[in-house]
Amino acid sequence: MKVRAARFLPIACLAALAPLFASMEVQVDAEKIGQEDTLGVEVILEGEEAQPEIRSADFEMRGSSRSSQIQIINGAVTKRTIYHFDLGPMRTGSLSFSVAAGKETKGPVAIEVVAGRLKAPPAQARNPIEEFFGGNPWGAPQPQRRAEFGEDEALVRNEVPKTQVWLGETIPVDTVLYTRVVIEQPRLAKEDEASGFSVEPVNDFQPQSARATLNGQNYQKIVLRRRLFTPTLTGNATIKGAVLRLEKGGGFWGGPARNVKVPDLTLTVSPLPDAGKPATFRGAVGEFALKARLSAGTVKAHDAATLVYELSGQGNFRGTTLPAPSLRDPDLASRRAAVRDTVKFTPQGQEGTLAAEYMLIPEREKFYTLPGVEWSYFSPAKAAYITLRTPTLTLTATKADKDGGPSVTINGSREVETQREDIRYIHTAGLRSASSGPFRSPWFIALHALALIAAAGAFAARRIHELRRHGGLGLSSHALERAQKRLKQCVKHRGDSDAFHRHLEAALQGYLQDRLGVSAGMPLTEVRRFAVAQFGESEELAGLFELVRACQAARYARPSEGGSDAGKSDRAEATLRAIDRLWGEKKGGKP
Amino acid sequence: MTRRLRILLVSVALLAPVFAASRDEADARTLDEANRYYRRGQYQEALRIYEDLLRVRGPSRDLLYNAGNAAFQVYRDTTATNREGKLALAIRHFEWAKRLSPSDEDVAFNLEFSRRLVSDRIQAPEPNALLFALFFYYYLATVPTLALLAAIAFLLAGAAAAARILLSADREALRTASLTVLLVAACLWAILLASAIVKHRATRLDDRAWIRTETADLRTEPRPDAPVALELHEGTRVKTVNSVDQWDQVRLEDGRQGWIPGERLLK
Repeated sequence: MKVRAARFLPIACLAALAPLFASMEVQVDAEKIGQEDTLGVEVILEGEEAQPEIRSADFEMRGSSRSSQIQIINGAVTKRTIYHFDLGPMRTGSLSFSVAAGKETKGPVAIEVVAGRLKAPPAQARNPIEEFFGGNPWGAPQPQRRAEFGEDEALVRNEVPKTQVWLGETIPVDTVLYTRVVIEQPRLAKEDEASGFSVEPVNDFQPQSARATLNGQNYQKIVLRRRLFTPTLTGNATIKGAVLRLEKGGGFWGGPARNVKVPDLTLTVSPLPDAGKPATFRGAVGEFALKARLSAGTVKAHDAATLVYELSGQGNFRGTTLPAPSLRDPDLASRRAAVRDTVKFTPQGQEGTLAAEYMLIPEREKFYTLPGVEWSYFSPAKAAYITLRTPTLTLTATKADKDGGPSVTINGSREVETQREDIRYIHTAGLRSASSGPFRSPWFIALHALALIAAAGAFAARRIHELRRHGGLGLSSHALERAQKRLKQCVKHRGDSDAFHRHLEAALQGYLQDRLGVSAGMPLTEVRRFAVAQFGESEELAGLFELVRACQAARYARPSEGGSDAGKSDRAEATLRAIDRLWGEKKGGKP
Repeated sequence: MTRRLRILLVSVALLAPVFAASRDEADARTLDEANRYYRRGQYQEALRIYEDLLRVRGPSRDLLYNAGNAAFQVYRDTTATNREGKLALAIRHFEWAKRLSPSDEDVAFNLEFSRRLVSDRIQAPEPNALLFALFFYYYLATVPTLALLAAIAFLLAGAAAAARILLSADREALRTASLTVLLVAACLWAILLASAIVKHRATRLDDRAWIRTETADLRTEPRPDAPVALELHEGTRVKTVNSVDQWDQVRLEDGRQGWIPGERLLK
């Protein structure tokens, strides 16, 4: 198999193994190599944390590296983890290796190894057709593809505006690609090392491109990225350059690629001068402005006003301390409410505004003076310390709205009378039972009970009054019903004269007892006298007592002398109805 | 065995009041100790004892009031190491005490005093004018006042019923008047009692929480990287409406909603 066909190998590997493990990709730089050559293998993992491992008895590991690949395409940044392995063949012939990452395995990948070296870089004439395709896909394999990417065709450098910086001074560091060919997808194979610096990427940086001349040759200059370096140590600090993998573009099948190391960059970090260092200096380096403002000049006592210290400009905001108010008045409480941070890492450096808000609460009605604060920074442009001072502010507290507030009299600038307001003292009366709300309180229950008692009492009084007026017991209204029930009982004993008349007499006397409220033992003559006294004499009453006496006589007479039982019970019921009707009409009062 | 059990039960029944009385005395001594700590300015110790008593005895107005005072003093001491959350704790105790005893002036004063230190000024929107006109008594009166008015209306209804019962049939005008008063008073009683119950339930503290940290971001979603809708400060009262993992969905007094990590809330 020819080396040229190695172009197809990554695609073949991917096509075969994609269904099994879509997030791992294995690429080799040649399918046929010499025994003295090194086989480059790249394992690209996306979203996979496992460490890949080359498994082969035919190759020896000559080197490896791991990098987080950063692809910059039209300003958009994507990341992948790329493992690069350099494998050396241990013999000639058809060799193979496989790649394992976690539970996934790819391979075996067959590599043909011949004696000698195949990766020598012979110069070849440019062919417009091959230039377009990145080589002739139908032609003979060309193991010298790497040689087509000359070292002077693409260079990468870290560039800074100056190499002499102050401690704490933020400077932008650009990673710049100088190229005379088309470079596709420059990848970060190895990040640079910058000990002694704090490094922040610039927010939303867009790659910039321009023409430039370097070493007497014209290049296209592309600023790949810009970062902000802030030195934290003095002396010579070196930024050890990163390694970028550049792939020459222009071909349909891809172009040759090579790793390019960015040259180291050494900066000289000078310490900040001790001479003239103000006491209020807290490490800020840059160019700043400081403002102080109050949310309101006049507030009511116990209301809050907001004091804001606003620091704006460009410099190492992250290493500074915001000013704090120096309030000596014990009647003016303050506490830090919030910090507003709008600082961004722009291409020019750390820029924005950092604001500290303090809540001031005047506890008394008077005028408060808020002394200005001092805050210092070092200006690299002027190589000198600069002290900023905020103006003195005044806060007027007027009388509070509620609870009377403190009693304060202002006489000129002298306070004549003051009374400090504070929370009220604890309750020391001892433990009380827990309150369970108004619905179970005694007064709530008592008022409701009182209403119910009043209604019930009225009803009872009304009832008693009626009973007294009617002269009967509570059963008087049901006396007729009870008597009728007893009459039905006596009808059941028609065959037994004694039982029949006994029940009939009980029914008649029971009616009288219920209706008149007399006792069962009262003689019949007394009952009649009582009834006459209550309701007066009447034919119906006379008939009723005549019936009672007839029953008493019939109980001791022979059945033939007692008359019809059915006729007596009907007559008794008719008499009772008549009396009940009569007495009901007369219930309004005594006759 | 049964006899012994009976003896044991009877003994426990006889001695229970003794034990209860001795427990009350012990609690009273503990309260005195806490009050002494407070008088000496040792507010943290006093707060610890008040909290213990609250756990043991349950909430009562005086315990809550004293605990709120102690928490407020700890918060006001800028040198105290554990100030965080104490303003919220004081406000919560005062609000609870006020709910138990709305007419207590000391509780109301200290609650208002504590609330002045809360940075956020979030207020419930004004009620609709028509609703306010219809239910002005609901908005203006406290729960005890509504309950008292309801009880008075019930008493009036009872008196009217009694009058109607006692009046004879020939005094028809008075009977009609008493029936009218009875119906009106019964309606008033029902409305006022319902309002009192609704308002009592609306002031429950079960679903209330207070911001316990100096600041807390109100986020639009229960994620640390979700956009911040509002920055709240210690002592601000919110209502918890939902909970997902370690996040609580809260509603502010003005109706705005958002998510706050549960650790930043005092419930």
